[in-house]
Amino acid sequence: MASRDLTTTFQERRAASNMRRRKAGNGGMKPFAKGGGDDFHLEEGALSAGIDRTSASALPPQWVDDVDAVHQELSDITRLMGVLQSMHSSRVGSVFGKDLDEVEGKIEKLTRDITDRFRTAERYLQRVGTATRRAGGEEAVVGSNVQRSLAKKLQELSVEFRQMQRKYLADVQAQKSGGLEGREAKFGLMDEEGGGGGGGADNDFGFTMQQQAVVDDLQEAVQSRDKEIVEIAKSIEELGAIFKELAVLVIDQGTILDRIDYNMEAVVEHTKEGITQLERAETSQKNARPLKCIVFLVCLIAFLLLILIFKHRRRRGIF
Amino acid sequence: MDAVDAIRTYVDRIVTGDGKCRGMKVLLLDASTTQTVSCVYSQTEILSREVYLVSRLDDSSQNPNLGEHINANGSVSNLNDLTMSMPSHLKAVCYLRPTDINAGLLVRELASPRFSEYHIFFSGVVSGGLLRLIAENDEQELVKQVQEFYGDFLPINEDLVTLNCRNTLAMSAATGTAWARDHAHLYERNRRGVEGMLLSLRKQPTQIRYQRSSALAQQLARDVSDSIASDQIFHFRKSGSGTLLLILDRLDDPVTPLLSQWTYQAMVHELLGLNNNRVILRGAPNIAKDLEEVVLSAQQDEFFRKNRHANFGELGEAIQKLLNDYQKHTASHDPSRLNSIEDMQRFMEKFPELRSQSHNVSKHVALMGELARLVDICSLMDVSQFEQELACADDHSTHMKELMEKLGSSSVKIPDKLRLGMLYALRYEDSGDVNLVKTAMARGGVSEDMIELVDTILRYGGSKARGPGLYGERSKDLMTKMTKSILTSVQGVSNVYAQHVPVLMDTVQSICKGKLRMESHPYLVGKPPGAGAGNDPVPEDIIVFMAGGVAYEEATKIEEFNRTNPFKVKVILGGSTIHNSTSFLEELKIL
Repeated sequence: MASRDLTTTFQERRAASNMRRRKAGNGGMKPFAKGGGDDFHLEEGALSAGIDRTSASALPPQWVDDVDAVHQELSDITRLMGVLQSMHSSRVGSVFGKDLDEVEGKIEKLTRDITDRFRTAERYLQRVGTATRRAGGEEAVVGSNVQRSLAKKLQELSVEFRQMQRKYLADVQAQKSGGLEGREAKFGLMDEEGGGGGGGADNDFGFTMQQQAVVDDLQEAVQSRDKEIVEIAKSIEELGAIFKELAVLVIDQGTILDRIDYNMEAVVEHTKEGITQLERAETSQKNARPLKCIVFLVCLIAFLLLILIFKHRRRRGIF
Repeated sequence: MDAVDAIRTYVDRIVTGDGKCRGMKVLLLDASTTQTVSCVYSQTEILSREVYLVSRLDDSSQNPNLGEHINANGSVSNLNDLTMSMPSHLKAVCYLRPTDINAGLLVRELASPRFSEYHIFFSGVVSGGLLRLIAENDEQELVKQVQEFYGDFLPINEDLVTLNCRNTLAMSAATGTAWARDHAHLYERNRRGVEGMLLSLRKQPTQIRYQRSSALAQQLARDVSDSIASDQIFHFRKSGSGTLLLILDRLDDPVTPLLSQWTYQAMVHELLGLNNNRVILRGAPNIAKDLEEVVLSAQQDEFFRKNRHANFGELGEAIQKLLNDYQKHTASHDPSRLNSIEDMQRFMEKFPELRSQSHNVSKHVALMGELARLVDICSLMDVSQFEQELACADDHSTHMKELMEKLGSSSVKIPDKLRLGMLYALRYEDSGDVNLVKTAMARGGVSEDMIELVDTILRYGGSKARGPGLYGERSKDLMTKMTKSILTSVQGVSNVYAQHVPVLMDTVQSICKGKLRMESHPYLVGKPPGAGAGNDPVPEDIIVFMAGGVAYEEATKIEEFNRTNPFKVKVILGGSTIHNSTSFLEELKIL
């Protein structure tokens, strides 16, 4: 696409005109001060004025730092989710690993870490919202737009995160139940063999020692599986609760609310409306009936008091 | 050559300050660049590019430097005092037209700056004086870059472009007369619009042709070719067999904007009004609150992109299919059949997608319903059939009889009666009885000032004013005409509502055969040797600009043409505005 960069021409012209302006300023000041030091004073003055101006506008408000923090959290979360994904696949891939529990523990810790980061990001975002709302005017609009866009990003990440967790859960379930079936098959086989051999008497006595051990094993496996499932389900639930609020901020794509010009008109409308409402409130406050009643009653009280005092004096006067 | 793509590339570069502006940004626009940006970028997209505030520089309620607020107690205070903390740590990216007004606004802004940095992008060629004015007023050196990005128009479809510039019919009629000065700013806008089209599509025309019957077209062509010759920026590498810039005027074909339309985009514009891709349904019966104003944009709406040129019948079927797909989708995600937590979670994940799909379906269903209702009320089927006959066939006595019947009937709405009268007047200007028709119209309820429009349109686009070609007067001799009419009466027409072919299509077809006559469309630039012999070289790209406005029917036909000639020729159509019959009649009133 064709374009033309006028920056250099612009800068030259600006430099020329600023130099001309400074020279003109210097020329004007000459009668008031002696020669050489004059330039120096003027420069200083200009510089300090410049500093004042920049210092007033240089420090961005607190909520900008919060926005940066949210950005940082987002990138951290993305990175950690990648790590989690690889840990998931390694866990699911290894069926007979020795330190399966260790790996699972690490996975759990990482999952909790990511959930915490989501929560901190949400907190920062809410702080941004309140800070900008309080500031009012353009900053409020900027703040709400920032919230909307970052909330959308957070929501997408959380959906991805939940999907990853659910897939992991399903895989682990499948694996464990598959293992269970394997063990059951073995149990059945052993039973047959054992039954085939010294048989009938054993069966009458219920479970033998061996079979008891197997049952214990199975029960343990079931319990641990249950615990895992409960943990994961809990974390998914928490995540879901977090984004109920922020989901409201996200705009539907493709609707009229998604149009830039509509949003600009809406802002104008709201500001105009707001101003009229404020004015109406102000006038109605002044004309309030309650105010009239209060004034009237105060006057009445004063009047009655006067009558009382007068009467009292009269009585005293008689005596 | 894709107009939407061109503008999107420009806006992509602008929102990142052409790569030089990082962090939170504010986008400052003016009235026309707002429309341009809103057509190609949605709010969510622009938010995702870290532009957190979009504001208009020329609107006093959004620009505190401009407005003065009258307090309740009557004192005047500058809005500057009211807003407590200005977001001065933000960087501003401005996208403005290079007009004097905008320069003044920029000067005011730089005098009391609201933001820490300014990156300025102009949507046209900047004059030296303008640049100097801004440079001299930038004391604090806040302007970090100034560039020209030539996105000076609104891309509606990939091959349709508009300038949203009204009242160009008056401008066309006044060219060359003493009143031309009143329309100087409109002319300027149109000229810059054409130049913007050329620059953003990166085409340097090897041939420039214009319509002889229009003084405006000639002047515009001459000015554009002068600009190209004088400024290096217009010079691009020649591609293939060249580019043709064709400048036309609406007065050559006053019939097309008057006809009722039956393709989706055209029909919505004709019956409801499609402005900047927005349709207002407020006021129609049975409209839900969130459908009062809807967006019909081919970039965001897949269904609309596929069906915008589909006719009414096909459209009905397509919407039926859309509805069935949607119902199937929701049935598999039925909230009442959720049995486990997993089902619920899967439902919640699919929910946003389902919600946007549901909104889309209900939007198209509502539009279709409203269009069908209006067709019914205005008995548009009958009226349109007669319109098409008036526009295409030549049968005075039958037409007169039917016209009288329609003008006297109460089921035909008054604006439609006016349109029928005008179509008759245009066709039978010399041979028919226009006065009789006018009295019939008055009896049918058409008001006095509307009847005057019949005379106006004859003055504007009658056979004396326009070029040849409207009613097949151009190249067909008597034999071809007779054979054609015999064939049509014997065979019938495939779709009686789509008979009409706009003059534009005839012109384009002639260009492709190399047979466009020089008497009607002379060359300004690039005349080939031996031209006029009927074998002119066929250009690869044709950029058509119609001063006075285009109609969606022409856009549909151009799109069809592009589709059927994918590797031979590509046409892009631009116009001052996009007319429907209402806007056309309004502009005629001012003539």
